[in-house]
Amino acid sequence: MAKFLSVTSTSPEDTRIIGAALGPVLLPGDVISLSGDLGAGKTVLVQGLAASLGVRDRVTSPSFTIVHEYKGRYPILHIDVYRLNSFQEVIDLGFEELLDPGAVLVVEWGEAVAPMLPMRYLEIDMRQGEGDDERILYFKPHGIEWATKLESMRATAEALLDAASPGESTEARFAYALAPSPRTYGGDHPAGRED
Amino acid sequence: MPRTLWTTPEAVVLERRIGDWDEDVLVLAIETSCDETSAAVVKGGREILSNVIVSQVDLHGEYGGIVPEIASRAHVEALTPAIGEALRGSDLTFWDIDAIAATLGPGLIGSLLVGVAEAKSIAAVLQVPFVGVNHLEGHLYSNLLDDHNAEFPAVALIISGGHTMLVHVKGHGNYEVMGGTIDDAAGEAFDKVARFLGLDYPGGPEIDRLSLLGDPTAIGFPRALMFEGDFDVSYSGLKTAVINYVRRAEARGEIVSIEDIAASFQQAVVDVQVAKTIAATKAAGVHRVFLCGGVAANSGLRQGLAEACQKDGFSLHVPPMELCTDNAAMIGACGTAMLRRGKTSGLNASPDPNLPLV
Repeated sequence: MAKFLSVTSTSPEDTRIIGAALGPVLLPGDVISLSGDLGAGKTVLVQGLAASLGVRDRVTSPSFTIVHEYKGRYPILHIDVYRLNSFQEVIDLGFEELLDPGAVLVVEWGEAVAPMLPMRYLEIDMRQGEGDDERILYFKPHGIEWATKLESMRATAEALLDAASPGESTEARFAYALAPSPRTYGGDHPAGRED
Repeated sequence: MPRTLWTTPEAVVLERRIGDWDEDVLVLAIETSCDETSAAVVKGGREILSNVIVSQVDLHGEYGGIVPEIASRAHVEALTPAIGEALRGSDLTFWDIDAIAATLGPGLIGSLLVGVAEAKSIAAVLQVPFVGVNHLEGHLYSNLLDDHNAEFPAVALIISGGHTMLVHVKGHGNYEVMGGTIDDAAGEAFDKVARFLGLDYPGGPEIDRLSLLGDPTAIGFPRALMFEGDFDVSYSGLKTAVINYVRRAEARGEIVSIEDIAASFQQAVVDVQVAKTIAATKAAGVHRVFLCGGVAANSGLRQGLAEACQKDGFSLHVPPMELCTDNAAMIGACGTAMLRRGKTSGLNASPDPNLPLV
């Protein structure tokens, strides 16, 4: 069985829609780890996700402020460990306390904190595709619940993308892959480095 | 025996003015919302007696990373010495202080808690009021410190790594957020582009430096939302445009000029931000522009804004750099103004990581 579901986005609008497709399957306590190239659209994906959970506030990048909390159908914690230099700083930040069972947690550069993530979570890795605007989103479920949720998310995403650009083949956007394509830029997050 | 900070004759306590927030009111202020641990003593809301900022940016620069003090533990270690230093620097003891102000939010909850807990403890012991201050509101007051020509009303541009917003400052405690970034803060865009280009940390000043050597018209990077008619900005697409430009050039085997990229990128930010700031100032019907936040150090932004303000007859106020970045003096200035309006907080006030400006 393939490990990753890959979804091709051809614009920031597509990425927003794919994020929105995640909304209906999310429940409090769910954790999403988000990583990818610089400029791949991580914040855009979270904007779509938050909108579909009823968040009305503006969703901006937490790269400097580290934690943003939004009130939607459930509380959403958007965390970015971009500025943190070491795993120790992630611990110092009190990351474990942020794993709130009542909130949906989205952590950017999630691979840097992978050892602290729970057993069940959704891993999303966003890569630059061909051309300026193409992005490939790799979804990897950790835990059986997420495999089921991902199928449901795929169906929603197909319907939403089809509605957004009728006539275009949305089938071709979805594929299964054994591993993401190689990183281009911005993948070497410092928190992932050995100190 | 050396004089300690706690040495006090009882008479001093009795003589201390309570509820009289006149020109000489002395406020001890604490700021721990994010990276910096800072303590300050502000007299009368406008005069800085001391402003101690503990930052480890220098130490961390060599590792190419940034964050020093976000760990609440680091704030714990740095705060008490910083307060002692602030009192010594102003030649005062705790018993001279009339009120304690501390940042209540927005910021990191762990970091905020350290400052608020310490401030409330000191207030309880000294039996003086505690004032919880909004960090962003504090930035608006940085312009009033040591600049007696700066007065409200004004339009303030708060521009840093974490925030980019235009605020119509109508009066004390009376603000309207006119616009802001819809994705990345300006300072974040500078930092991420710098990191992408492989520049040294801190990236913002490095781009500023390289800009002077490059051609700002060499590359036509997008000016997002420039003509939208509102006061919002977007810097995420600009960051992506820089990345795409480099990728395309590399694919063609061309050598790119880092200086031209830096200059063109910076010009794009300056063009949009200056246009939006001037438009907001006109819309608000005021004649003063306040610039604050770490990106206020950017020479292109300062110059662009100064020229535009001069053209339209607005006065531009830019505080010294140590007041542009996070500092406790601005919290003290804001706290004093709140004190005068009777806006003190109880000792049960809690930090709020999402505290809105209005």
